[in-house]
Amino acid sequence: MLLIDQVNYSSTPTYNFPSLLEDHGFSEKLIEASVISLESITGKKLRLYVEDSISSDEDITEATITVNSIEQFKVYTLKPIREPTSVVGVDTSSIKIGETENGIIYAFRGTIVWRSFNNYKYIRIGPLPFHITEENKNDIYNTLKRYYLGLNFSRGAPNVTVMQSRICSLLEYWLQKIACRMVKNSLILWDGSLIANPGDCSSIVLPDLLKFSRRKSNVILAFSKVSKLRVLGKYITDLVFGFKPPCLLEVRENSIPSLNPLKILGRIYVAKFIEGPFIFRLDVDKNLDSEEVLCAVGKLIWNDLMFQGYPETLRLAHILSTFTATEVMAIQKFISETYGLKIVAKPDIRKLLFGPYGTGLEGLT
Amino acid sequence: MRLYKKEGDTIKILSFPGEEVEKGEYLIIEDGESGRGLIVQVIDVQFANIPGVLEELLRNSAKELTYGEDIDPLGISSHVAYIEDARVLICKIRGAVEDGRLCVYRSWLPSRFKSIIRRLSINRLMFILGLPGELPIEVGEAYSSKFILNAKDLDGKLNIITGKKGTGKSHLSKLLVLSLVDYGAPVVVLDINGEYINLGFKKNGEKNEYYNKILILTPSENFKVNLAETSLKIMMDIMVYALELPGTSAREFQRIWVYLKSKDTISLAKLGEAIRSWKCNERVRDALFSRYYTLVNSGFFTDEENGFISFEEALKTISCGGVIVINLRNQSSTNRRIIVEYILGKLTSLLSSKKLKAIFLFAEEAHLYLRETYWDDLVTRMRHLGIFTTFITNQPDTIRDGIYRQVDNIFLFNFTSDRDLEVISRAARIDSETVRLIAKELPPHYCLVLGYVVKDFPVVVKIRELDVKTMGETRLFFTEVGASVYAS
Repeated sequence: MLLIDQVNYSSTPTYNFPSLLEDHGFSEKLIEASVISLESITGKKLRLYVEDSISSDEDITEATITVNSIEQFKVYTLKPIREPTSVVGVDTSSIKIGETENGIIYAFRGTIVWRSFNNYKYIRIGPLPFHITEENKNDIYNTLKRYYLGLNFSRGAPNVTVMQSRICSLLEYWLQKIACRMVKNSLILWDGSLIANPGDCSSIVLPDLLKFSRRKSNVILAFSKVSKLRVLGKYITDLVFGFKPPCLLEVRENSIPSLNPLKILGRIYVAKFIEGPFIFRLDVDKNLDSEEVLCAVGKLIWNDLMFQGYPETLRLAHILSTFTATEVMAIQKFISETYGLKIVAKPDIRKLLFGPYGTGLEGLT
Repeated sequence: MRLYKKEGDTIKILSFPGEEVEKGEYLIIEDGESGRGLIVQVIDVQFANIPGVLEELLRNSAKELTYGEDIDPLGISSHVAYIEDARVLICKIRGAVEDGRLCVYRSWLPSRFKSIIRRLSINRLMFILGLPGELPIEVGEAYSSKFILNAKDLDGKLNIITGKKGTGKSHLSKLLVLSLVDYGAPVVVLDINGEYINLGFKKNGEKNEYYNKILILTPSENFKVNLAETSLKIMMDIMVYALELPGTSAREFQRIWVYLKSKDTISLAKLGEAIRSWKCNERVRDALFSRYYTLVNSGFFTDEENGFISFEEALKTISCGGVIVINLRNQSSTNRRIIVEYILGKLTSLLSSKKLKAIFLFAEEAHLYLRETYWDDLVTRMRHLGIFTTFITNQPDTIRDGIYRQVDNIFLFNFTSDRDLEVISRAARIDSETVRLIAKELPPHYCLVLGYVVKDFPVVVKIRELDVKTMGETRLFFTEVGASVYAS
């Protein structure tokens, strides 16, 4: 019997993220830094955060950009491109656990999710609690930067309250780096925008990650759920209401004013994949031309589920990273049991002073 | 375990994995500083309302569709599971202790942060309650402790054993019957299904130690009654209540009876002749004849002098401890009523004349043979005479509210019907919530003991095994796998 024809299926790449993390000695430095930081809290008191305890991991780096002319937009209609392509999503989350006499305890977690053979797989790292104080913040920041991002220069760490976003970003960059390293010809989805801030290490790390990604023929697509980008006072996400999905609205580079000292590393789009209010800002590597961007987004539409117009891979990465109230309690329990931390309720000064008045909507309930 | 909340007489306690507590168990909340403690009973176990649990569950359901690995180097997920699995124990306050002694609970609350919550074993509880006392009856096991009640707490009391079919009511009833016999008590069982006829045998069919103390009286077979030994009162009760003889006819029957008595010729044959020749209205005669033939056809009354044991003699044989089982199986409802009227009439008469000290009466499904007026009579007048009744029923609504209010002890087996539980909870000497929440989930052979025997501290008991051939043989269709339907 002769085989007269054979359909040629391209194989989907497979990965082994867990072993990769082990190879990189994940369990050594990050845990070590976490444990060393926590050792300093033994016998102290932890004041809990009742309100605002679960921080949002919305894009905290996106700056407000004002575009002055509506002429500077171009709308593209998207078509799904039926080419099997791997989709990888990366997200991280952080949360404030409480305050000690001399610092703040934060917890961090990050997730890489990838779609493989119609299944979603993930690797989740954390929760990793850190006790950040004025005394240890430099050590922690520089150690993690050096070890996970290869940045050997030492720089003074920011304020303790800003360290939450900095460590979270470090963890996110590291996971993004791993994702970029492990796949090729794939789509890598980030949460946030492609704006570099010289004040942190993003101005060094982000260009490197984009460059590295291009070398592996990967395309990074950064989604922002909320955008501060405005045109003539209106949010740019509101500009695509009249267009039929799926479509992309491109904000021309020359229409964006200088954001000194911030640096925009991507092309900025507004993505509308389905009807309704589900419109997102999408940043794509500036070094890719429009055709490549349309091709990448077309592949994304075909290769990933787009429930509510948002890639499922990235949604899962987000869901798996965020902290629930139960987890916050569990972290508090772990810290108090392991390090003998005494948990005390933090008095709500506003309530003590004003009672039911001046507490916003909460006072009405 | 931590004290969480108090609402009325309900205490809510937080319990964590490793501190599993079952429904019905007792806890003691001790306040070391004041030397006082609260005794509470767990009536329900619920999930603690932990913030974020819904999100966690939803995320886990997403994880079920996603394959992956969690790198959790500090093992925080185990703490999450610990918190998620926290339970709230809904407890009822049953009493208070001060310096180890039971005292009246007067709205005292232990410290929420300093109090220590421990399991209170049934042994310890019984000790605090001063149980079981001098005549112990081992009923079974309650949370790994032997549960023993005091036979004296059944003496002079009205008890109800109730639960749905197949939960073990008759088993407990037999256990109590034999335990009372152990202490020399005379017991009469009104056995509607012939379930007690094998009480004198072990499971393997051999005779047991009670064999000689058990007398099975099967009406119309080995138990017949001579009319001459029956009083007019008993006969009138049978005629009026069991056979519903109208008033005018009853008066004629009374005259006939007095006439025959004066001639000292009371017998079934003479009674028939007297009715035939008695000068009275024909309709009265018809009415009397129809009742007369019912008596004759019942086979319970006889003119024969020998071969049958009288009920009075039978009672003498158990006066130092024993059981008379009145086997009502295969009796028509009219016959059952006649027999029971006779038995109760006889017992009342013997107790009134002090020929009998007292008797424990176990009545299975009494609504099937006990006339309306007897219910109240049994729990009031007859009780004072010395008949201490235990009703066994799977239809609690057949027992009237008035009876329930007099009940001293309830042995409650599983009920799934809310209606049945409602009936019992109205009468039980504890809150309805306890009855509803505990009884609904009782497995077979587990019983919630309520009332005087447990000093109003309800206890869930697993009734112990009894080496007694329990049921009369029930004829089954599917006796053997593959058995032929047709006889060869």
